[in-house]
Amino acid sequence: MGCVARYGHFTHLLVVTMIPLVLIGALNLVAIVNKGNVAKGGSDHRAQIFNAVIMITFCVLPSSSCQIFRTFHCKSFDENNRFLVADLAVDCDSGAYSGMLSYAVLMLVVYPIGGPLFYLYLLHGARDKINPKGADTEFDAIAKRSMDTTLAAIKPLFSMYRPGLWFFEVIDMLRRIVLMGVFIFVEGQPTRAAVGFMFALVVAAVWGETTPYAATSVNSLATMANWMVRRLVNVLVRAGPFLSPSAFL
Amino acid sequence: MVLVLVFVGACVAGGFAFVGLKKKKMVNTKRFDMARFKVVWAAFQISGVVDWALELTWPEPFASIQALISLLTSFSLSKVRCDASSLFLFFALVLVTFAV
Repeated sequence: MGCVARYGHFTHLLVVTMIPLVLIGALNLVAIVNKGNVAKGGSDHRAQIFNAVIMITFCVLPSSSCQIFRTFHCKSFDENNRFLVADLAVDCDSGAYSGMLSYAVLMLVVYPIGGPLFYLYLLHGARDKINPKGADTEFDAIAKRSMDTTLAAIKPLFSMYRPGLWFFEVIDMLRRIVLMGVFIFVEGQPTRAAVGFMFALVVAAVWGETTPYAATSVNSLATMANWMVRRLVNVLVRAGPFLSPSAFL
Repeated sequence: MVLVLVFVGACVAGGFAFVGLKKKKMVNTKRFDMARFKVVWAAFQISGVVDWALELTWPEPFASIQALISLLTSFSLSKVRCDASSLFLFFALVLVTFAV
């Protein structure tokens, strides 16, 4: 994009934070129109529309959060100047950067903090329906909740998880946000890599032991995906600029 | 602004195309497993930015593959270089190798 016009970090931050909000706003308008149609006897599509909103947040929330975190990542190359690592044309002591930072703080509340809290609010409100008390077995609970039409709007948030782990989508979202952006706040490159590696290792172990997904095949896939991420971090550390790869051979 | 309009337009067009294909029964949504999609998407999304998060650099050719993964899953346009010939050359080599 930078080949056509100046496409700096701030433009990218605006794109990845505003487009999802515009799309969600547009879907809200569609839902309002649909509500009017339902009153006139038309079919109700509001649950599907809300499912689409959840899917948009699922896809963009960690990547948008990552770009927000990048706005806070400045580096000193000499004693006087600090520059934004994501866009070295931005001086971190300039007025333009202060404006960018204010926007990033606002988006920090909307995306990495607000997103998981919104998920938790939705899931906590319906936890007794997602994990019905009267069910004898886990299979019964899944059968019961799948027949509950009042849960249709938030189905993408819980349907893949075991009933007892109704909150796991929030944990998974936090895992993605942490792995994708929080480590920049750890000082020092080797420490950051070590913390990242340990976190990936712990996540892989926890996911492997808790088996949070209702389907066994998805649990196997998730275990494989987590070990792949852990392995990627491991390889990256080994091939990193501060260590010679030959040191591990 | 143009990019926003293009993206929203592409999403709307994609949505209409999907609905059209579904009506003609050319797309079977029942075969699409949301749980698997979510697991795979999350893993790719993390792989796309993990080098930046840990402030480390991938060696080539994985750096190019990762740039593509990052573009697809995190919409990271900044990783796409103006001279993308090495990336295309790599994918051309991969395709030719698989074809042979």
